Amino acid sequence: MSLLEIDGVSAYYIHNSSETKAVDEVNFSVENNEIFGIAGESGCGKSTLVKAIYGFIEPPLYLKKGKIIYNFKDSKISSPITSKNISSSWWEKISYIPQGSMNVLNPVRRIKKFFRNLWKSHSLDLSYEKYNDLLINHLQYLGLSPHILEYYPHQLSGGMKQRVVIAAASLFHPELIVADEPTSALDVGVQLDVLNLLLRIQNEYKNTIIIVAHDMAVMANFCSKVAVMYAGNIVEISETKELFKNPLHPYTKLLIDSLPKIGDKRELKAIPGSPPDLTSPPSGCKFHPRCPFSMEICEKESPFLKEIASGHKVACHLMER
Amino acid sequence: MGNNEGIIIKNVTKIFSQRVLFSKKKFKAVENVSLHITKNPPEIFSLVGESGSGKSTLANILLQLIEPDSGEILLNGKKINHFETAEFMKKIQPIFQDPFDSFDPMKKTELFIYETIKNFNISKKREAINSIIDQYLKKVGLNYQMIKDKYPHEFSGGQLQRIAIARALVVQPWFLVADEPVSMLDASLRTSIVNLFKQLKEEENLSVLYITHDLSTAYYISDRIGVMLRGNLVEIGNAKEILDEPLHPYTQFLKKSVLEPDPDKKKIPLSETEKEEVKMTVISEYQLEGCKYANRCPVAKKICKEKTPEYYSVKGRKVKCFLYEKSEKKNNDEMPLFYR
Repeated sequence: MSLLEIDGVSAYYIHNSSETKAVDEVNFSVENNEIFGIAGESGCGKSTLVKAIYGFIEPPLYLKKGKIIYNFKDSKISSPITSKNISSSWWEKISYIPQGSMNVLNPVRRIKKFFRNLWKSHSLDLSYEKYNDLLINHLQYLGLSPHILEYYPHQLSGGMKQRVVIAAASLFHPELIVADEPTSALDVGVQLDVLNLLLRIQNEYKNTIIIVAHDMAVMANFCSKVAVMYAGNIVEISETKELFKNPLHPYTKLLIDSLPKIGDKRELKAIPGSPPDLTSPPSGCKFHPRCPFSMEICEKESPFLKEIASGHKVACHLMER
Repeated sequence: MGNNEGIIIKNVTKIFSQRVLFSKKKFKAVENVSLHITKNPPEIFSLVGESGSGKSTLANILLQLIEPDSGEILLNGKKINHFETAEFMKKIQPIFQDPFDSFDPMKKTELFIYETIKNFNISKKREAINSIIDQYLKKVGLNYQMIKDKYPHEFSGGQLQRIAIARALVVQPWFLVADEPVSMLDASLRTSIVNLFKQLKEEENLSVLYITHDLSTAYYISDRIGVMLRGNLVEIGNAKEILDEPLHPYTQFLKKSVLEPDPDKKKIPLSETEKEEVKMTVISEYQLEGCKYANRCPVAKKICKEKTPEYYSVKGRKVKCFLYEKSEKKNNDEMPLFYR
């Protein structure tokens, strides 16, 4: 049984008269002990999808269709966990590192207070002393000095703040960590440190990580499986190596090819055009206005995600020939 | 070579002070930096480095937003503070990091360019201005119809950054100072913006000072590159040569931490052994005697902590590191070494 099953999920933002179809008919599952990457340009629904996965569905966002099923190993709750009751498992079974999360720390409270609040609101059957020991051990394991608990957020660098948030997210050893762009605001050297930290947590606790990033380099280096999103749909899903060696969807190809690399002296071409407005997305395949191989059928019918090789799924009419 | 054209930065130093409890700590955000960016032929010069290495301070000094404590900057042989403001701004134009911050959200986007044209007295008639706006938008791959009557939030970051570049171009500047112009943008949009800089260099003879922490785009577009470390330029030379084979340990560190979009070259090490890292705050690293990298450098020697290295020329570039002391014969010229 997969840890996470996402079954025909559509999540829309509702406005006065229109809907933004940020996530549209998305199907996939995430296995245990896997690092799952979600890639794509900004404005293609990545963040909305992970919000839905975390169960953080608040107006104007709402779940139009489909359901998300969580199969945690030793859940205290007997009934099946879906997006309705997932909030009781927050932090303990599933934790979320939101975008720009280094700014979530309260600037006028010490880091200690932040962790104390975490203990309070989760009414753990743990005394504060024991919790404190657990916390200090955990911080030391992650290579953070316990002194930082006495600091205010402004005394820490961006990378340190990000590490504090990651430490909080992994404190109760959740089975699933959802990280939304954890490295995009960081410096080059620090980016590597933060990814290394996440990898160590994964290695130690054997949990599952879902990571969202627009940077294909992060995907290549960090994930075992990658889903590429475009305009609310998943257009390609595959093992990382297979995806980079043999990208099948034209969008994935362009996404990988448009990156400058050190040592590569080619002229690069950017992907033409820009992502569509999701209140009124194009008909058929949503990528067809920008696609170099666009055919007649692409304008009319939207392609379905089909398994081409084992574990490699693509949604493109080109594959059906 | 007696070539006065371009921007010549001579021994510029800027001191900032930070209050810590009751004391005041001073540090040099930019320390004795000298640089020559040529105009003829135009070039794209990249400044790279971590955040807090003084890149933006140097850019702000160049734009006269901050006054340096010592040193001078010459633009085509004339000191920049001798220019009149309007005249100076016609020569050097800035492009900033966050395109959403550069625009007034309550005003129509075209007004942004319109006001620049008015302020610089390029034209007075409404129709003429519109055609000028259209002309410059076409240079960046847009047109007037696309931005007419629209507000900034209706554009994507990449489009806004293009409009910001079009605005900078209407005064027909000689130089663009682009401070992290792509770091807020998506990886796929970055390519289109950096391609635009390349195209402007070739078609409009524009020199660009490109400031970034993204080494791969710097490698892709720049002719020369300068690596900044805590206020010091530690390696200057041809961009392709430096990044293909970095010499300064700091440049090597920067190159090593770039992730490549290739799963066969996994870079994230899974270190189980806890390495005792010397975590230093930015400000204390600024106050080091000697080489600022000495505490993090894997090949640091005793001398590195005591004395500041000079520039040594190795393989046609200048490196500020004692490792290369012997490999060059001392240059006794009074002129700093990196004037071409």
